[in-house]
Amino acid sequence: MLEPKRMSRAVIVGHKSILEATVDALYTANLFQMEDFVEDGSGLEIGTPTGNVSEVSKKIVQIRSIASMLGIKDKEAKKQNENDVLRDLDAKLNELDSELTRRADKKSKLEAELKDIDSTKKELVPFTNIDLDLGLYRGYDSLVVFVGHVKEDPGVVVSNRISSFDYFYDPKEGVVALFAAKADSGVVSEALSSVGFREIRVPDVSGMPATLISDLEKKEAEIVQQMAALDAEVESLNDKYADFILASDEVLSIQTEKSEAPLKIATSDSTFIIDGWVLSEDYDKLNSVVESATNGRAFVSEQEISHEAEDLVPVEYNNSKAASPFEAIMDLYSRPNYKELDPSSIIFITFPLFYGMILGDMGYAAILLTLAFVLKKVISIEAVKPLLNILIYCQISTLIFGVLYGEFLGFPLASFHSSPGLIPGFETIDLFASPFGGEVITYPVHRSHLVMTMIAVTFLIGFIHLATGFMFGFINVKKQHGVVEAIFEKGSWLVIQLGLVLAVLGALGTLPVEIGVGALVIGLIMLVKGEGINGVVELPALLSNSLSYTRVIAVGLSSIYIASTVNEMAFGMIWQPGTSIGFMTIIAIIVFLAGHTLNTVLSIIAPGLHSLRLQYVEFFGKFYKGGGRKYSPFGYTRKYTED
Amino acid sequence: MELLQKLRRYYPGSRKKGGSRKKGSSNYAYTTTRVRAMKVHLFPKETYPRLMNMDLNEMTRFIQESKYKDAIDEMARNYKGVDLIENALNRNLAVTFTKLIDISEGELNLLISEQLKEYDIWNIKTILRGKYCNASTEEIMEAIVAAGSMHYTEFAELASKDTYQEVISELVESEYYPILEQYTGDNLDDIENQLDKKYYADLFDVIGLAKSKDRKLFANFTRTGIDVKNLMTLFRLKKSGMTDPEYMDLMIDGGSQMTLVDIERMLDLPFEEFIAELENYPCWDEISDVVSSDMESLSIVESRLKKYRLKSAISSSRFYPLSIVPIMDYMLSKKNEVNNLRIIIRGKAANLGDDFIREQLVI
Amino acid sequence: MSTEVVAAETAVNTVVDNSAGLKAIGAALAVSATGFASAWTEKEIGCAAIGAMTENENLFGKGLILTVIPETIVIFGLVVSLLIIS
Repeated sequence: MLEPKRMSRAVIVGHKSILEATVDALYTANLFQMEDFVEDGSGLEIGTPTGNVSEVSKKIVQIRSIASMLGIKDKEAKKQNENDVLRDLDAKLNELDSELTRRADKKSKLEAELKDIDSTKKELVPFTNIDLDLGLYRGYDSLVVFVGHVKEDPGVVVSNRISSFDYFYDPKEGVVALFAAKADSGVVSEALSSVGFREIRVPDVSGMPATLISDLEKKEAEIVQQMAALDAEVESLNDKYADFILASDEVLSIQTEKSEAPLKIATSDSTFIIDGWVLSEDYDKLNSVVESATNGRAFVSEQEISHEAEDLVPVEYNNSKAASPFEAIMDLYSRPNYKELDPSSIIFITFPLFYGMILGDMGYAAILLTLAFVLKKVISIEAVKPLLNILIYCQISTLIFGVLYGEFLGFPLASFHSSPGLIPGFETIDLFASPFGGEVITYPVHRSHLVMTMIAVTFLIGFIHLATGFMFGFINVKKQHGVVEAIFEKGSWLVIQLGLVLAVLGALGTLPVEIGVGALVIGLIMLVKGEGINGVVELPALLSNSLSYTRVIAVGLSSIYIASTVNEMAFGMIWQPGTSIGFMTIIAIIVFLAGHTLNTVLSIIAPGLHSLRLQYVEFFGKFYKGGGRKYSPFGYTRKYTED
Repeated sequence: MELLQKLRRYYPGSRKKGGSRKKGSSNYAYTTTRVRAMKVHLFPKETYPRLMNMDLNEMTRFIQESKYKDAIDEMARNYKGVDLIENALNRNLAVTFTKLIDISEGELNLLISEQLKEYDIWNIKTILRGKYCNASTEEIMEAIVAAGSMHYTEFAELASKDTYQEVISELVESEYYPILEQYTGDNLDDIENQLDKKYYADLFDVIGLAKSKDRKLFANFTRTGIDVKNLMTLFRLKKSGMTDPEYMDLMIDGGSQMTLVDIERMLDLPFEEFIAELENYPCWDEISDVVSSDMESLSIVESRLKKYRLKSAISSSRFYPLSIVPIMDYMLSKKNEVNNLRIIIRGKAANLGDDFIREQLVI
Repeated sequence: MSTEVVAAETAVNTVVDNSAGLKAIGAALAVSATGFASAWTEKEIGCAAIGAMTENENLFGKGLILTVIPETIVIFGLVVSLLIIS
């Protein structure tokens, strides 16, 4: 439960001629994780891929490129027969490729056309307001035509010099078209240059500019439409070929993975050596799988896991079904090392515990619990499921604490002192006096009136949680370095904690103070021996870490304050229940709903984060290293195809 | 509200796109951690022996399964074989580096952008060279890495021009025009040399503008780069027995270990003494076992020098985690990875021996 | 009632009132100052965490936790202010 599954290191040796058969068998069995071989100058070399992996790779590259172009995503699909997929693959791939190429060509042709139209249009724009057929701008023997931008109307300057000319001027665009006799051309151009004439090219078409432009715009719209149609066609290709692409990608990936297995394997001239990991419980199965695939010609042997190799051992969790969602929280931080305790089962208890203690409101618990169950029905993504389960655990805990605290959406259920509760006649009962701050413990527990007590209680819970962490640390160090180091490195902290407790009891007069102080001194000496001066520097962290647990009450109170402020705003300031129902009632309800929606969202984030942080920082800091590799055996679970 | 307005005045338009990114404060924490995370995606050294055992198609597929996926997917529609990988590698390099410009702000952005102008110059040189030897537009574009300030389409347009005159007249707006103007069709070496020198001069100008401690770090980084570059040129000159002082023109000023005076002195020495002289420099440890008076090819020295540069960048990025150095280190490593992949691909395509290819790799 | 007694009573009341006000100011200071402090530190860490996360989604957990580590500062502030008020 607190340890990952046992692993065995297995080495498979055989003649190269049976390599393919062995790899095939291992792939199908899906229980052996290969360790990549690194060339180390021992004469063994990385093997070379088998089969026609080059051809297959080429197809995969093509398929994946098409898939990303069509935007094909993983989805649920009916499983196809592998042989069928392989048989049709080439033909279908060619068909798809040619369909795509045809469309891509068409599209690039359209794009080029569009660009052409655009540039012609730009050329036409200056002529829009000059009502003259573009054909009339050229083809004269005795006339010259000046067309261009000018800064002002050139009529006056030109008429000062020559008398016979004709011109069109568009003041808006600042464009002029001026017709004059060829003989006068020198004079005219001189006159024009005085008004900043810059020549522009006359497009090589005929017709009225305005009609030409509207024609072009029509054509443009047509092309855009055609392009949209092409896009839609490509979209429909996605629907038509998605299954084929997903299935063939899978089939070919499996082929290459098998073919490329030798790249991880050590080989000599005639033999191969496969090194890797198998669950100890599966070792016999591995043995028989290899034996039957190779007629006993390949040999499997179990190797001792050397101390250096411990970090390499892949880790597979071994938790009860109830605690398994919390493996997601472990992975979020880092998977445990093989030689380390797996604290999933502890988090299974403490995470919802802290969450519930912080939130502790029946109303929010009910809302979030419903939400979690609905989401669980709707969402089928594997990765989200554990998180939803965790949410459910947390809400159950919140519900329990909600009963204990007697809170519903920030309203107290029971009346307290003179302020009334939500349930009429439900009175708060005084139980006994708290030893802290002169407060009285009641049922339901009114957190906001028991601040001192709650701070003390959460501090103590933290103290105990930390002690658990040190105990885990003790076991981890013992497993890795032996019991002596464990006593000095982690045991010392436990002794110090014990010393602190005894000293406090001494200060309260139940015990002689000397016992506690003595224990403290012993703990300190052990610590210096175990961790050196670093340990002493870390000593204040014991206090700050325990104090950190007071967040349980602090964050909880802030959540209550938000909720009761919303309630006060809605049903105290905006509208009082009992007064006449009207417009303000609606406003009050809106404020109430909006406020509590906000607080519900905060109710997932704040308690979740703080509870998580107490695990990761305070608790894990005492013992956890992590860094384990995920156990992912060589093989594949087919989604789109079957044999 | 007054406070808000004050704050707004303090960061004038720091969120706007474009040039104003270069103003305002730098976002070191964000950029350096992101770059660190990017560095994790580079291939580990164990990958290369495996790549050596693959053929071209396999390699294409292999790198398609990594961070190069987008580039390969895109290029696979139009290219095949070696062209596919070459184009994809360049595309990926360009996308990766322009991403660095996009995610950085303030001074950091300024320095990175200036550093990446290296690619603008490289591309301009490539196009001119391509025009010089009448390469096709496709051939030229295959070597373009649009990682600098200019866009890929701009280079595509330049490359499609028929003559170098048209290319240069198209660049009339660019800061390189005064140099390019002098190109007469047969002084390409000189132009390239001038471009390089301008690059480093500009770089040092920008470094001079920077205010933070990055200025010093970035300057050091650049100076080490210049050292390595000069040393490679020196090796090439020495190897072909050229000692004429006029070759000093090829050297770039501003190295950290070797000043121009040092280089000039070394240029004059016989090969043995030159090597003996090198023992005094920190790069010697890296090259000592491959340098000798009767060495045949320089390629191994060059790959060792590159390795020396990488190593020095990595070690200083450990010293200054929240500075520009990790980013420069990443850029160098990424460039090196692309280079290595290209070496393997080209080596395989040309049927070169495994040992020879391995010698060229900088791992 | 003599005028002295009334004067004395008002004086005492004022003192009591003042101490309540000072308490409130102290509590507010404790929360706001620590709030600023943790916000300032979290900003830097958050930036870095987001940078790392955009490249590698698996770092979400670590990034989140690193980001909320300075939250302790404001929690301490909150606890202190609760102690002041209660």
